[in-house]
Amino acid sequence: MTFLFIITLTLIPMRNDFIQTILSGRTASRFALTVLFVFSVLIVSMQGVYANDVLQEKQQVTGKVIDGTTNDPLPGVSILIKGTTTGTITDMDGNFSLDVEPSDVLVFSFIGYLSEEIPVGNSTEINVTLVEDIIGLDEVVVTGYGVQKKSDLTGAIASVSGDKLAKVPVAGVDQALQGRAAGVQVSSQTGAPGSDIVIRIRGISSINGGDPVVIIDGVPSSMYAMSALNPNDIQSVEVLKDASSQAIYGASGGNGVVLITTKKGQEGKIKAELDYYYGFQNPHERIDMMNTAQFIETYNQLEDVVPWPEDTAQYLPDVNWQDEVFRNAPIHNINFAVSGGNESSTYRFSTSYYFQEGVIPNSKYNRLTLRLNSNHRLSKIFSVGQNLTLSNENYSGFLTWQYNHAYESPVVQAYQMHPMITPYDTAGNWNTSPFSNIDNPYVIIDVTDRDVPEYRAMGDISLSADIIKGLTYKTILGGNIDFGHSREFTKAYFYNSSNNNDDPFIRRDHHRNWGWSWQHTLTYDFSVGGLNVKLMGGYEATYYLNEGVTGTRYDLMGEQREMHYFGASLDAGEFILTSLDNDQEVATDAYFGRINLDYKGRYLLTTNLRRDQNSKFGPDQRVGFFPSVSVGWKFSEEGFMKNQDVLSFGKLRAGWGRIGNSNFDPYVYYARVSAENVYGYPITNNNTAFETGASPVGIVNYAIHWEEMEDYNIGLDLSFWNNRISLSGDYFSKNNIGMIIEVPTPDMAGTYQQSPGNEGGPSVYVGNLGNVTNKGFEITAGFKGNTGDIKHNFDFNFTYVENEVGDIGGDTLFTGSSYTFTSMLFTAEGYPMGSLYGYQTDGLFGYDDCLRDENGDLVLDSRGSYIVVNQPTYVDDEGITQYAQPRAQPGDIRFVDVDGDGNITTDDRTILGNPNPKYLIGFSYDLEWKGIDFSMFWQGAFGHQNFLVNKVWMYNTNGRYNWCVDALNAWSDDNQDATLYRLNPYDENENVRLSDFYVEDAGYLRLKNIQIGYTLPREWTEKVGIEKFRAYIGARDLLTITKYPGLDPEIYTDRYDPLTNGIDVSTYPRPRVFIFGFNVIF
Amino acid sequence: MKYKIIFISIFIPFLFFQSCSDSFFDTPPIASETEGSFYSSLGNLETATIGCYSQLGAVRSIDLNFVIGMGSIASDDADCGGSDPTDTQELQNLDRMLHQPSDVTTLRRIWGYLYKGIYFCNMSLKYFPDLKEGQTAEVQEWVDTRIGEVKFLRAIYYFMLCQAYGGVPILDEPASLDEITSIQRSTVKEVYGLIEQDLRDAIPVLPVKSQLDDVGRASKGAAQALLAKMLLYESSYNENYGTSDVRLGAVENRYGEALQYAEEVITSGQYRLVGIDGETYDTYWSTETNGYRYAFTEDGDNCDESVFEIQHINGPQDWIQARGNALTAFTTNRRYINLDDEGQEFGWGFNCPTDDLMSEYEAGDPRIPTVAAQFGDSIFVNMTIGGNPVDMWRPIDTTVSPTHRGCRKYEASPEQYWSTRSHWADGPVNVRLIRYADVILIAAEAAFKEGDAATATTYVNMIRTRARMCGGAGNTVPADFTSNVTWEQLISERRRELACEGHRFWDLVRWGIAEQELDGHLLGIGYTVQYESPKYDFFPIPLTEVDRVPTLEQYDGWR
Repeated sequence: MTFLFIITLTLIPMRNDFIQTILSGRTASRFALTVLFVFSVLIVSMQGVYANDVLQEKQQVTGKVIDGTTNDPLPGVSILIKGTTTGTITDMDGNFSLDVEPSDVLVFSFIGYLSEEIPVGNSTEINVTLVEDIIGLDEVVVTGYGVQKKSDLTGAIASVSGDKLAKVPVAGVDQALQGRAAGVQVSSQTGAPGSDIVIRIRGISSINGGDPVVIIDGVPSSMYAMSALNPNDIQSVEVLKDASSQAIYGASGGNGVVLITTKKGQEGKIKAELDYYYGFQNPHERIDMMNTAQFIETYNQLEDVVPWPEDTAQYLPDVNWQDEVFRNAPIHNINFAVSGGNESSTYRFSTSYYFQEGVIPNSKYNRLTLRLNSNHRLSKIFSVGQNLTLSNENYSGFLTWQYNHAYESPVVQAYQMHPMITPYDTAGNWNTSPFSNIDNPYVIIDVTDRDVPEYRAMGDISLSADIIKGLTYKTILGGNIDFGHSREFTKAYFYNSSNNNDDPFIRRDHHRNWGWSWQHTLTYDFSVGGLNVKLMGGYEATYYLNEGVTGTRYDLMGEQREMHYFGASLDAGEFILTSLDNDQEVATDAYFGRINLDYKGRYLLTTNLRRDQNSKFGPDQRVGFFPSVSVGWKFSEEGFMKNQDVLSFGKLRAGWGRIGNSNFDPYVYYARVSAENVYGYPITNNNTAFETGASPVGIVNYAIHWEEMEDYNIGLDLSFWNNRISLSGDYFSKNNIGMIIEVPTPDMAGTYQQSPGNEGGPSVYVGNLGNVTNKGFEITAGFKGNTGDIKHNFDFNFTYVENEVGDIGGDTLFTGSSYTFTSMLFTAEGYPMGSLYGYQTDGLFGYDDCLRDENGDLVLDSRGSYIVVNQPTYVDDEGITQYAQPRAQPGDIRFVDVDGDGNITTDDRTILGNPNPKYLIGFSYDLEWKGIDFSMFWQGAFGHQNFLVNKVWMYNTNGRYNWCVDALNAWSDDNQDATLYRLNPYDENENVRLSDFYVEDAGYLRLKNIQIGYTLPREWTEKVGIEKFRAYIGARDLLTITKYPGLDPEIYTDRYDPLTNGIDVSTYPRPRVFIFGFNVIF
Repeated sequence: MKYKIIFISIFIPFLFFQSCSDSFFDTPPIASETEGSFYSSLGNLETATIGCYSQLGAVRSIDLNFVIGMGSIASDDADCGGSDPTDTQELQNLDRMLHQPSDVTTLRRIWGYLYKGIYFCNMSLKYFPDLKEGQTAEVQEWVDTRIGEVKFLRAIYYFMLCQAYGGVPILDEPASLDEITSIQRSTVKEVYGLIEQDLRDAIPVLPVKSQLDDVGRASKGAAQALLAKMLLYESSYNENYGTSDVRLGAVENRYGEALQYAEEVITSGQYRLVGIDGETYDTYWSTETNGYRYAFTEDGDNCDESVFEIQHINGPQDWIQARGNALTAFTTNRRYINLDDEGQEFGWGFNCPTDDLMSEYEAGDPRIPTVAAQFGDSIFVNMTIGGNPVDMWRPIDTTVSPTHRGCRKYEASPEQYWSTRSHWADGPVNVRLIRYADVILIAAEAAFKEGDAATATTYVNMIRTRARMCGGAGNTVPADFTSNVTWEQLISERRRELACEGHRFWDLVRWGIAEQELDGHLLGIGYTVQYESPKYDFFPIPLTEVDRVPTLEQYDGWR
């Protein structure tokens, strides 16, 4: 009765209208009371169970566990009384004994084997044969506030083991996740050490950002915390991909949920592990730039320039600036962990140090971590546990954002700089180019002096209680604090009149972020007839506060490191410390519940409901309800499937859910006022000062609430031939139906800005008006098998995602800019978010397009130019017929008159590409033979394009920057078949305007990792007390297959602004890395 | 086993009643003030008030597009100019009466910034009165003065809106988006009602000019002058459009009141026409610059003739934060003759005085050189000779001007602007929104309409005397009128005195003679303006606004 009642309660709200009307904020307490009532009923019904419990008699069972293939005894097998945490493990001979009651069911489990459940009944001896679990169907998967067997899942959850993650030699877990799971797109913003990582799960679902929720050991955390983890500490990473699994995280789950489980100690012998590898980064990619002779030859062909004497080239230096700027650089990684435990306590502690120097001088990242996990059984009922990580990360030199700003990036400057210039003159001063506007990259390399350390402590303490059989209460109190204080010193230097500093100054940022969370869950597992029921209900509250200050002081007493503090300033002027912009405070709480039903091991149902409350929204909009339901059918368990041995497992899944996204500014609904220079006024008419004025933020939308997403998922899981081959496919459709966007606001509201984004002041009104859909499918396949002594393992995943923007309230959104262009990306109904946008080109004009007289001779106009007649025309206001490209000459680009008005105007710009990869692919192959192991891992992304902004410099029209070698093929009278426009300093046709000339297919397939290792025979190592010794060599990012002409197709994605993807300003390229290392287990 | 039951009974309720209280979710912004906290602090009174002033100086809004674009270029005073007939297209459109509701840099920008100013004023007026509570009389007076200033600012923002667009929607307090998107247009009379009330509230609390806290603030005289001007406009509308024009509403004949307020300014003793006694001033032009020229130089900012000016400085800020005018760059002559006898680019050459305007002057009127530059007139420029910057006087080359003339009212010296500017929007010269000469001419016009031609003549002669004295001792032009002025003489004097300063278009419309004067007006580029009333009397509401506020209706001709 009870569970039927709960099902009804949970299913009714699935109807949208019901949610909105009945379960509105005001009736929230009614919901809480109902849940309470349900649980009270549950408790009452429990009394019967309890009564039985005390009446039963204890008996002892003994037995032996053996391996199904070899018949060898299995030591270390865990035996648990189902629904409790009471149990034991087998000894070295596979034997066990345990006190049980006749009604108990024993669960035998061992990593890599399918678990068995055996009812005790009257037996006193139970012998068990465990069968190897080839495909991992029996693996337990973390699902959020609980776990579930992989074979029982009804939602879309990807699980990646820590072993796989630790295999790729990268700094962080986030980066290691790349290519490992279908539907999960991972990219690092740049190849720089410690670069930010972007994770997008099943596409970009909101213009307001797409970071997934990160949960570490059950505690809400952040992407930052993820990068501070040591990959060797990770047991597994689960990614919740569809709403039916995400809904348990409600309003925050909309961009997906990443659940990280750290390694815990195991009962048994103490185990110590030492890993070390050394990596050697080699930035081998180059763009072919001209050498001195080529440059001078090309330059001298330009119109109206003062030519270089042709013979000077041989006396001038010939510098390949990329070789000057890129260098080989080392990585060191060391990891040490100890784990062990006995029946009542288990522990694991570890420490690691990662150090990476950048391939550009003056860039560096290092990370030190310390971790301690332990679990303790206090009594039959209570257990406690704790997890704690301390970490220190430090970034030195350049920061990620600098690589994305051409004028700050030594990478871009390395292409721009002319080959006849050497970095330094004989006196050690920076050399300058004879052409203005280019900076010697060594200026910024030498001047940058910065440390950005980040200290972090995070962890949790948990208490669980097995109240009665099947009923478990657990509470977790989690907390994290991180703080950082960066130092940035700029010395006095002079390069040229626009790049210098005459007053040394120090800038320091201090910030601290503090947060806690507290959750309670109650789970109850029981069976009635063939029905297995798992109920879970819980409550969670979280809070975080981010605060910081920043200050700058000039005129320091000295330039040495000791003087980099504020007190060292000789400047008696005003000293200002200001708040950092992201100061914020957010509080949330939530009730949630889940029901898992399993009827006869064939029919599965999971339903979740979460009620979230979040301080980012106004009092009337704070509460949201997020329901989901999913069903599964294990048809391989049906009778009609019994008589075949091809299909060993088959399950059909379908799910629906509603989730939210609250990923944006917490203070939208507050009426804020800011004092800004823009709103100042020189009331005293004093030329050197004017008063600051105040600006209210504009009309506040008190009705703003979370973005709501609705999501469907259908999946099929199959495995064949005794689970040797597995295949899984999912189709999904995810719709953001309440995306927060700017509402076109009448100017009368006081929000007008002639230069949006620069004026500050009243912000435009925002509302839940937008609409975005991500549709697609995922395929995961695996194969495991043995050929003689050789073990093979092959994993493959493929994702197709299509992003389409729906109604966004009429206006299109332009975003994205580089140093050179603005309004590069376009978001409008019917197109992918942030599509590439600009002019279309249609080849070059030639002499055939020019006006000729009756003799067939070319006609010149009064300016001495050819008249290109083969092009559209229009009639201007004065009634005169004009050419669309009036200044075009042979060799200039023909732009397409898209709107057909006969003129080339900004209205002719159109969609040129899609920066969001449509296809993602990842596959790995592992082989083991005797002591030798080999593995490789490929990852790729396809179906997207980038703007290669670097082409502006590579193909510049006046020689102010160095050209790439391809510019030798520019159009000229002698080379009229060229596809590259003519190089002309005046560029009157504006050939360099943003067009499809800059659009490049950015698809790539990359050998992320290849490794070969050898494990010494155990007989040898045991003699020196070593259980295992493995040495290996490998390489990361060894090979990239791509047509992309830029340095690296995998480019900058602004983690905070999804509408800036696809603009390649030549970011820090990923070097290939050769590594060698070893693991020792004691 | 009993403790299990105890355990359950303790923990279960704990679990589900632990819900957080509302105060847990009360997390106001940390690093910025909220409306309530900001405006309820007396310490922020000045900052909030400055914010209300700020929109007077919004870049290329009032200075260039409203005052010069609409007031002068759209009229027969000046042609647009620029490098060629397409330079700054929407400004050219105003010259040719080809503007469209979709024009954003002119129509929408003016509308947007004026309403932004009104929004800031409404926000301040919502909170300022409460600041007086429990304060000393001195503090209360201080707050009252600021309230008076903000009301004056709201009045002048609305007055400019009415000049440009006719009757506009009235927002006199912060409104919700729903209220704004369903608002209707009011008539000019209704908006004038709000302006009048604001000014009547402001006049008693504002100090006279000589007692202002800062030169840029609104004074009692400014409020009186604006009220006089508004009353004059209302009376003209009444006289020339009647009381049943749907755009204007029940406008009344109030010349008497207009005269009264203008005369209060005149008799306040706070203002004088500079140079009326032949006195001269030290400016970069010469140590003996005549009064009329002085009134338009940076040195003449906030001089005795100033009633209300938009404060502009050649500040260190860039672009949006610039607090200069755009007019010095835009209206200074486009070329001068360099040492190689070649034309050298300089200013941008907009607002070029027309033949029609020049023919209004008597020969030898000393105001002419200040209004218009002819080919060969001198201009003080900065040049680079032998790598060194040199300031020197050079002849002006007016050949690129469509009227072969350039405007000189917003010029500045190299030292004040050309060699020190950080941006083109850093022109140092204040925009004279209300000049004392304007107030005298308002008084003259009102007196004339009240039938007192003798008083009108006295006022017109004040203007003529000052003009004459600017020509130096013994100058005879323009001579005082010896008999009562006629209407034609009066309005002609107004045109001459205020030429190219952005009064002409509004005057033509309120006098009901815009179609008569502008239809068929031939521009220097050869284009003949087609003007029809009532369509062009007021500019259309920007398209974006009509799109977003469905209840707004365009006037006849723009629907």
